[in-house]
Amino acid sequence: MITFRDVHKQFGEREVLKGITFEVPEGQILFILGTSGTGKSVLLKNIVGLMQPTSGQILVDGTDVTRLSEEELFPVRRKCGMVFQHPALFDSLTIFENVAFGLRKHYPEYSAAQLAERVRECLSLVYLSGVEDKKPQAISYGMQKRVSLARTVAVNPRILLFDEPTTGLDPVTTRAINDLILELSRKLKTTSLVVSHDMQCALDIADQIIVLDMGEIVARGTPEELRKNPHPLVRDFLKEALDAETAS
Amino acid sequence: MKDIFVQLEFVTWQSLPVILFCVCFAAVVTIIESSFHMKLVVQNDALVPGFAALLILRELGAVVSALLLTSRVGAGLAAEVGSMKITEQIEALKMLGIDPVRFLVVPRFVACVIGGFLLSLIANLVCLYCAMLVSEAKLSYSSGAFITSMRAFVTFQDLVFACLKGACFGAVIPLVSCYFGFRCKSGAEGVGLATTNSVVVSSVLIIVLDFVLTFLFSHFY
Amino acid sequence: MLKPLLNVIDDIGECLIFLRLILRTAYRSPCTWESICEQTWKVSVQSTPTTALAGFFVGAIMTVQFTMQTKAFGALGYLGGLSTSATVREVGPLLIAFLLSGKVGAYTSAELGTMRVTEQIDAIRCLGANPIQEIILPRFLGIVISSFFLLAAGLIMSIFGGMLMGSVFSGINPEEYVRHIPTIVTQFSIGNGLFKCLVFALILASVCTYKGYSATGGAKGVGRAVVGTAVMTMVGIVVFDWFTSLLSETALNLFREGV
Repeated sequence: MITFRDVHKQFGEREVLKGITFEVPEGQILFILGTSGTGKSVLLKNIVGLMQPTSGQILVDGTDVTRLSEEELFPVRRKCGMVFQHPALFDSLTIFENVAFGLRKHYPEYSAAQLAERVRECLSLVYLSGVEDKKPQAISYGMQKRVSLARTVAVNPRILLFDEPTTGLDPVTTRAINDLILELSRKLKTTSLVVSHDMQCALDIADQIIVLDMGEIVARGTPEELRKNPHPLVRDFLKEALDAETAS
Repeated sequence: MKDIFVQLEFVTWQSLPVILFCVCFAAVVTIIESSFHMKLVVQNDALVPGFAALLILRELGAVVSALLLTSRVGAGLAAEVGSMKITEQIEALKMLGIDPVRFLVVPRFVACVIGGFLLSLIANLVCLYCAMLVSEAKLSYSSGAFITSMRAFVTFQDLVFACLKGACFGAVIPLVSCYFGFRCKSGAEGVGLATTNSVVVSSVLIIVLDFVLTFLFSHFY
Repeated sequence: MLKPLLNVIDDIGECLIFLRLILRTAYRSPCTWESICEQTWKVSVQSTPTTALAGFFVGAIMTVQFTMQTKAFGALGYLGGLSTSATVREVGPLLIAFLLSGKVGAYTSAELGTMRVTEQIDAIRCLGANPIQEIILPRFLGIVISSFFLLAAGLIMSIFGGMLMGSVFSGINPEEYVRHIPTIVTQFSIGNGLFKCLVFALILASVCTYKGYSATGGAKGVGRAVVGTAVMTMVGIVVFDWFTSLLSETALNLFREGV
């Protein structure tokens, strides 16, 4: 579904990605873990063409997205839904308009009633109702996150990209969002790529995990395989997750 | 005390290139425009230097440099203090037993008042010099003739008033910016809003204050 | 010493490239009329009080200044004409545009900068929309249109301000003041003033959209964008003030020679 082939990305002198190669098979949830500032978000933005890699190939469904123009990227972006680190809701629009924004673009043939129906449906997917007419500032941060999830799934993407979906959230909301990611991925049969530094939830819901350090892949495998990985960074990540597990 | 000098360097020295660049252009425009008016009213260029010098000293020099200072220093201050506020640095200062107003506002205030005075002085002189060069090139005035004509219109008093104006405008800028900076709400939006507000309010205040001062000074001529 | 200079040149170049992008988008995929009108309305409502106030005071200041001079020549009668002419042709557009750059420019770049750093612009792109077309273009056109009219309105206010001060401070009654305006202020002067307003509006719109759109780095980045906008617009305005004055002078000379 998504294939990275020796992807490099440089910002001036600084090399952020140093030859990343991996593949996400269809229908799977892949977690990319790493400490802050190791180029995880950059990696994600390369997939949908918000950034271009310095060299290397990124295939989405067999098309190389690295050298496409803004217009050519349109069909690719239609396939991908991206959930940003910030909720990134348009604060001049109501929740309804936010969720409907992508729908209007991708399904211009929808009638007003169909549109409203679809918006309601998407909001109920993330367990929200009755907030359609509110502005983003008027609801809590956790709810904003969920609206942003609803906005992303509204256009029926086959690939979901999450950029640190749980950063800055309390444990309860984190759990809720994680459950949502799992549930949505299974229910909508999407391929998901999640960038995170939360080993715990990666172990819980991922099919595959990749650990990134200083722009390089240092470990990869299923959660079970990773539990046995001797790499010091992986151990560090695991320690915290296992501590939490024993504590609960 | 050291803070004051650091701030003074920021306010005066670093703003100097931009301000000088702008007042030079303003000087050229003033010459062009006043020669236009003089031709219209008295049919010759005889009074251009005096008229231009008057416009520069009494009005443009101080106001233009103050407005530029607002955008550079005022907006910068609001953004700086605002960022400190939302990253809880202000609270941290309070916890350390340091009065944030004393620590942040006072040095900036003093620096801006002195800086406003100095900048106004330098800007006016450079602007006049520039005007002299332009009128020499464009209207073929010798520098002597320019000065003679100028002396008929303006006195040393005008320069003093211009500098006083500069100092007053300088005082407005940090007060307004720090006020909005301290009241900054969280997030990128908050900082943007604080910066915007401080620019708007201080430039309006400068224009209003300019009117008041002009009115006040007009009684001394 | 060379580096800041190069940075400035970089900035100007990028701003021009951005302007080209906006214009190309306007040509290829124009935005809706509603969105332009909405932005125009928003900017106008926000900034009318500021510009009106500024215009009023600028007019008043110029009158006070000119009163002292014209009195010395015993030509107090010319006061209305002279101060209006100076305000409309030169001081008015300059100072009012300065204020507007603080109000409209800073506000817009803060707004766009916030959208940029909270990834709203990336979200628009991901949802398959063109942010230049959806967000930038309506704002750009809205600012150009409304700034032009706001500046013009500010100039009209400056006449009122001057008139009021004329009667309060210099004892010229409003009728007398207004009567001398047409003798000195020609259509050409007004055209010149309006042309300046248009040029300033264009500078303002392109700088603030460019700076806001290219903001990076969280809340601090937004602050930086706003400061950058304010400085760059003001410098741009002063430079183009000179340029338009020169242009209009040349045009006037050509015109006179032609006659």
